Amino acid sequence: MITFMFNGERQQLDVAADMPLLWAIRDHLKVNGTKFGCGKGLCGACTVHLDGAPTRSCVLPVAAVAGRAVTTIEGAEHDPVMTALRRAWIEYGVPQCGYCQSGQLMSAAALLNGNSRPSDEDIDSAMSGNICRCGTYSRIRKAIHRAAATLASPGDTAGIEQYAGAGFGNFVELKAVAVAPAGAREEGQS
Amino acid sequence: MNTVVTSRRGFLKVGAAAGGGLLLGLSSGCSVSGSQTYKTGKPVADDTAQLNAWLHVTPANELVFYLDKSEMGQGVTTGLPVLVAEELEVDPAQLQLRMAPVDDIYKNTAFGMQLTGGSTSISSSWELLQKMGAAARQLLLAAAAFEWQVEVAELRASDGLIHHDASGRSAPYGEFAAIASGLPVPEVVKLKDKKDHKLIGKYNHRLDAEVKTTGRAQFGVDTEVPGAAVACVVRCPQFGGRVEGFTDTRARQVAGLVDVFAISTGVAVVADGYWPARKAADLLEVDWNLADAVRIGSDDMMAEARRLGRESGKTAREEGEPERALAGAATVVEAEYELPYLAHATMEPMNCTAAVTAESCDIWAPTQLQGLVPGIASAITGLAKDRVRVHTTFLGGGFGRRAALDFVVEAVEISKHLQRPVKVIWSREDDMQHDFYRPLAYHRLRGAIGEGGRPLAWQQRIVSPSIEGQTTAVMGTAFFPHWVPDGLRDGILGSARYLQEALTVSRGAVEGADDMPYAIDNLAIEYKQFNPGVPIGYWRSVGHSHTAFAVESFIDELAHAAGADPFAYRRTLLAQAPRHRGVLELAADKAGWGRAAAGRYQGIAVHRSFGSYVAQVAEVSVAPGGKLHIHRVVCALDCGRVVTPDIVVAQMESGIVFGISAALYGAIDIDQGAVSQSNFHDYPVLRINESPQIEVYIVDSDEAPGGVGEPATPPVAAALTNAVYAATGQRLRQLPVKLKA
Ligand code: FES
Ligand code: FES
Repeated sequence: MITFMFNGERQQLDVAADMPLLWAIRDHLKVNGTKFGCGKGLCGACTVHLDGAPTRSCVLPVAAVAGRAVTTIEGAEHDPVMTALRRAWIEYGVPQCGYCQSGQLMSAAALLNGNSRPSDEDIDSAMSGNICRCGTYSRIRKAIHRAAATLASPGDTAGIEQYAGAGFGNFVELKAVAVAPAGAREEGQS
Repeated sequence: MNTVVTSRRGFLKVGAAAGGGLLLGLSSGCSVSGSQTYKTGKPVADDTAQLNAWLHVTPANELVFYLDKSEMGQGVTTGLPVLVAEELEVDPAQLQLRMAPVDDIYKNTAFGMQLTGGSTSISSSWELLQKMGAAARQLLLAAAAFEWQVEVAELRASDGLIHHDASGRSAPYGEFAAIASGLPVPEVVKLKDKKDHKLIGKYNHRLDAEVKTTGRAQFGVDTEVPGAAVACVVRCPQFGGRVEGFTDTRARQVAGLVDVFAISTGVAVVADGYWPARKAADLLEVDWNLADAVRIGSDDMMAEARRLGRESGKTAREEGEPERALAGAATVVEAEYELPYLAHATMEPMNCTAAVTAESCDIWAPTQLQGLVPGIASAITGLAKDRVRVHTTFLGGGFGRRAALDFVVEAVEISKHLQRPVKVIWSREDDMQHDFYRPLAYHRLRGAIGEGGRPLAWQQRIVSPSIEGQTTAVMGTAFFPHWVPDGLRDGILGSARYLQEALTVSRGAVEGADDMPYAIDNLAIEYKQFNPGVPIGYWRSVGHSHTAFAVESFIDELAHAAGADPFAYRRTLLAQAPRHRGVLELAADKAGWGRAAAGRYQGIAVHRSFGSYVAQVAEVSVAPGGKLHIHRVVCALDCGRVVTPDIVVAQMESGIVFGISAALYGAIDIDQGAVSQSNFHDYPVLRINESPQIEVYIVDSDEAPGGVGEPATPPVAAALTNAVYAATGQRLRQLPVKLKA
């Protein structure tokens, strides 16, 4: 039994000690914002914060987090730094497929937590462990600068709501899908 | 229950016309274009209105848009809503998006099947979705006219409301949904003029950005079906190998293991989560039957391609007398270009979830090709196609990889065997070693230069496997009814493949070369087919990914041999190709062609693909040790009409980064029939610290929309290597690049 703080709450998990934290989070806690990209610490898609430090959860055995605090993109959602980053991400239209973006945002948040006005070089070195196969790098750079500027002048209060997009019907509700026999559907598909 | 159901009644109102066009108003009736008031005595069937296959309005004023293209980053979750919203007179953010199910009405008109690819989402939806929005608006106006007993001409639709200015009344669309659904569909719809567009060409938010910054966006791998197990599949490392037998004693000792059994692609190892399944898969010992396996390596394959390049091939294009012109020319330039197999390496590894029961089959897939899923699932399960439901998720990248259905086949086979829901998850290693690769390609070019440096002849021979031949064999399965015996089906498909390869020039191998735009009197483009047995597929920009490199490198070589400036040389030869020339001039102008800072060098390339024209100038420096630094890429695009400009810019950035990754690093090597690379350490892709500054300029155009997902990728490798030549005098004819110190 492993006990740790997960997104601000105490969690107990009874899983194999060598299971990577990533799979404990995804398969057992059923919290899916943290992504699997390479399983070898090479791409950053699985980045979480461990006691605040950016950490690749795909290569960290869950036993290693006993007694420590793990935060994922879901747990960081209302953090002021993350809020500024998300707002900048939306303003600059950073995400494309979006698959790498949880990891990008977690790495960027860790950067801004330790360095409130990073240079391009600071950004490159903090973010070079996060691959974006869609090539959103130039926008990530701009958005991190923008978030840093926003955090430095709290008067700027443009809300995320301003940019909020359409409802994403079944894109955000897959979890709720139950399997019903095909006959149960209305008029069917061809 | 969130399964998307669209009613057949709704579909009947919009029919596909012969030849793939669209007719409104097959059900006939009155025209809304006049100002008559509708008098319909028809009872309303239900209280929601499926106005057509794309739009559904509820009395609670939810405007549901059924998205029939897969979102893989290219922006269809914004671009297509904008098309519909322009005519429906709503804010695109007001639309509730749902993925469309599989249905004939959603067939991509460019392909005749429901799929997302070929950079066609906007071009194939452009008119259709504007018409759907306009027709829906007209129905709602007609319904309001009936409800309020006024003339349609007195009504106005804006911001999701219908207004009757004379009486000061206004009400949301939802109030008229029920009546509208009972009205005949208008026969004629008039679309707005460009000058009246409020959204098209202007809308610059990205609607899926918000959900993709919270971790809530659901990709295929995030599918959670109650009671689902997780499967890993162990596949033969050598292409063409089959399972002979396996020993699972040690695998079965892993806690949480559910079952181990052979399927068509290898051995399925099923457990109660990914980690135990992966651990058990690593402990499985498989005895492979290698009788039909590929034995050779990519070096042998390229050597064979070079050998075949000495023989003449099938003619893809011929003008004048190239052989004679070459024989008589004072200067002949010859070059060979070689490009390797490439993996897609989408950020989200392949995966699929399936739930097969005795009566039905549900499939949750990040797929670009949902249209063939019911056929394939039906062939595997024996269920009728209409018992198969497809749920398309967000795709963590596609790039053509997800137009293959191997991962769907696995999920359906495993779920059928276990009769319980199963999620198949590939590791990165599985993904890289069992891809459908961009085929290797060998180009042999000869050019003759005449007086004043003018090119007199261009002869190009392309040796590369035929994607169409393979696709015929692989995809054909979906078109056969499930009762056709496997042997017969395979026989038919095998001969179809043979005929395809033997008789035709592969479009996927010559596109971008046989429509080469330079004015040269004597021209021959030939294709030579060969099939080394490695699975190949559609990789972002397909054949253009190698033809543009060869063509744009060789024209540069001719320019230098002629002692001309590479930009000016191209420009002269493009006198009859105004759109090529337009982007070429724009890119050169914006990049400050010929005026690079000290120590920096420029290279240029121009290429048309997927209906769009792209020119790029790459600016590089090369350090004394041979270390290449790409400072800047300036990109000019003419894609005709633009719907969402910022997403177009993003696609250029994306395509450029993708092309640079391939040019600098991309190589899948085959050794004894197996892929040598396995993960991002030996198949590197560009990272943020290597990513150049990218500037994109879009030509203002009234031409029909072209594609944007792929066209930025083809020219960048040549722009880059042409810049390296300018910097060092090294002509790089093989990708990925290797610079000498
Ligand atoms: S999945 Fe952990 S670094 Fe790639
Ligand atoms: S947005 Fe697709 S991988 Fe980064």
